[in-house]
Amino acid sequence: MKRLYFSAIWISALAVLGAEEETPRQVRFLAVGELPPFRQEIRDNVRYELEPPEGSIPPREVVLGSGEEKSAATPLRLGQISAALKIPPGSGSLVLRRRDAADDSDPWLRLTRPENGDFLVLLWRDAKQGTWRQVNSLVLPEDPVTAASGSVRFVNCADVAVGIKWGAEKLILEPRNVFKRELVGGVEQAFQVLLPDSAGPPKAIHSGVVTQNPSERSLVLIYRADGASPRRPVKVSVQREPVPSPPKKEVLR
Amino acid sequence: MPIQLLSKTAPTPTVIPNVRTREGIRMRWFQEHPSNVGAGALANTAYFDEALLANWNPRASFVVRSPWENIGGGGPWFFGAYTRDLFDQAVSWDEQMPVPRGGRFHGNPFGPPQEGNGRYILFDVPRRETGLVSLGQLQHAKLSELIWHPSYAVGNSLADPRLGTGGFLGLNRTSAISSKKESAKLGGFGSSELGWSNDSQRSNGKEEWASTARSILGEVPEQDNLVYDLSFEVNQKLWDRFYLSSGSVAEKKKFLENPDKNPLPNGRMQLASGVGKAALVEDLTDFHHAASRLMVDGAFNVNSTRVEAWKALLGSTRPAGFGNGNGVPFPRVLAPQEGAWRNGDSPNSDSVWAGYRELDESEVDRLATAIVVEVKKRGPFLSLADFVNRRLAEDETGRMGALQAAIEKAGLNSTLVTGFPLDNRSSLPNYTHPDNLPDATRMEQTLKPGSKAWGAAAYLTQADVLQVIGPVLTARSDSFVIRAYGDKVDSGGNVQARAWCEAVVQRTPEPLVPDESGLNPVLAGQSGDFGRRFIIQSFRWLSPDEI
Repeated sequence: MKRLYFSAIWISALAVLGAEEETPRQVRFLAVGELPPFRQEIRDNVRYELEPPEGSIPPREVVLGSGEEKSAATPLRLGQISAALKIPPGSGSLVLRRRDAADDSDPWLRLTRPENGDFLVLLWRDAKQGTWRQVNSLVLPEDPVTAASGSVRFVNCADVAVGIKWGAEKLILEPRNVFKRELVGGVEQAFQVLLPDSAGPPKAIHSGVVTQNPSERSLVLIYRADGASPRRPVKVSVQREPVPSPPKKEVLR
Repeated sequence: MPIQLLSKTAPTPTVIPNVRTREGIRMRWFQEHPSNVGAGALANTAYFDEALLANWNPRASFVVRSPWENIGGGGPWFFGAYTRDLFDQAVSWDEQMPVPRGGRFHGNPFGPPQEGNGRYILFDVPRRETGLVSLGQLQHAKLSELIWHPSYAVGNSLADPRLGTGGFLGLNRTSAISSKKESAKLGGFGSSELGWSNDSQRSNGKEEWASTARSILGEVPEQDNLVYDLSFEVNQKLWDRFYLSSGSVAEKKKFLENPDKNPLPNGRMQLASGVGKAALVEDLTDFHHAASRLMVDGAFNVNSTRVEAWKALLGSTRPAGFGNGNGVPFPRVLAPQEGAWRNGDSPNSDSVWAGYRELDESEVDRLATAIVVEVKKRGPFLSLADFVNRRLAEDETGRMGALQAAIEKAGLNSTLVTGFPLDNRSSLPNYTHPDNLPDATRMEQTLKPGSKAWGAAAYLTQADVLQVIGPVLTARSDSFVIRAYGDKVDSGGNVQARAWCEAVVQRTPEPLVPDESGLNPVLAGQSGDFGRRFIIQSFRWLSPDEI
């Protein structure tokens, strides 16, 4: 009897302890690509922006579904990281639907969420289809270890390998690959993204600088120039943000 | 559009501003973005194609719309060498980020920063070591504060596209004309040309825009034309009336002591021989008298139709110390920061904007041949300005001067024309502009040069060539070969003896009968005026078989 009583207490303690370690997870989305040409019409001396052609930008708002639950509609804009959306623990599927899409319609995006941690989903339009109706994705962990403050991650969303010069360091970054470096706050670090050039040595198609404050992290996104009459085959965007404080732990009951 | 709220004590913005927050003007790009190009009544025309250094003056202080500019129809509403932007990704935060090179951040005057070159060196200033030795060097001078004038006025000869009224029409004059009589009295800056808005929030009455423009220009349009062919006018005044003796007072003193040992910076300057009295340093340093004491050694007559002679002249910079000596350099600036650029090299290399132009032998040959063609077509040139300037004629010769035409016809800039093309094949279409403009596309597209990169350091211009050969050019010869014949006949008329002789004579600056100043003939242009003194440089008897 005494032994059984002790075991019950032990199991209860474990359950409470396990529940306390379950922290809410979240996912964010970042669509990369080029805006379509701006079009307007003038009526009564007032300029009105015209709606871009269907498929030339990502859905303006999406709803995240995970199992039976679904989020509120959240805006999705090119080059801007979306608001964080809560997701359940453990692995499983996630689906994104346009805000107006029916619950039983084919989702705009379906992906498998990692088992642990927060993550960022990079989105870009399919090169062959050339439309945002078909979207490619890449999941980037955003846990405090992988994306700690002071980190700089290069991500290649383009469909070609690119050369990277990071200070004196030179390396090749294959499509869908990531590499990470550390950068002290306040330091300006120059970098270049290069593409092979049949006429000679690799040609720099982007030269830039990464700098960040202490407690910030950066993301250097390399993506295919997918707009009208692209000026260069590949574009680069640098996203910098403070590393969010760990969310308050919640006890799941 | 998300707005990031920043901490008052430690603001660290991280949200990238939306492109729709961007407003301002900038110089037009060599390749405009599709949002601008595809907008309005002039969508997908060559409206944005401009040669910013050929037909505009980015150094100008006065950026005002003249009546002869093209105006975009339907946004972005702007004109001339500049533009506003519709909200294209090309002008977004990421795309406009300056580019780090060599520890500095660089922009790009002609496109997004990522497409820029390391350096853009466009204008030179005289160096203490050399001073000014050629009138062609004045191409670097900012002679005008008005945006619509050319950047390199002196020595170049492109017709101002504001003169044209379609095809070659309008090239027989040097100033743009008004289409409305009431505006003509105001140099074109009247409301009937500059327009007005029917919207009271944009213009307070019909005259407001025009009177504001005139006010900005100091009311000068009421007395004078401000939109005219600056290159033509300045060349006309300069090349026939002025020359550069070169050298400081000290250098001229030394030159007088020993001309061979201490030549002037322009080594072609020699003391005039055969004139009455010895030159004094006061003569050489006097603005009016220096020319009476100096002569150019080996002056070249621009009316020459000998290809070999032109080749020799053009190739005279071969040993100038630029490059490896195998090419013929025509550097725009005396100390270029990049190396030689030859036609066929990459149009995107740093040498295009910060190097210098070099010709090979075949290019020199083509240029000399093309010059002779132009000389035969346009000559004889009655003065140096006549050679430098375009013809005031409504035909091909009215578009540009002989040298520039020869450069283009020889294809010396073909790589840059192909790399940075400017569509000048047809005039822009007109359209009904809501701001009561009689013609919103008056700047004649077909009179612009064929490349937006006109004026790049590697783009050979007429002024670049004149900068080098200008000091030795003349439109007339001053030395002549004279042959004479004489015979002796007897009383029957029979020739007893014959003789032939030959003299080489040199015209000097000294009048035969000078006026009080000593500079001009006392009877200039009148009966009995024998002009300037000739001296015999050589004389010989000829044998019959030399005749």
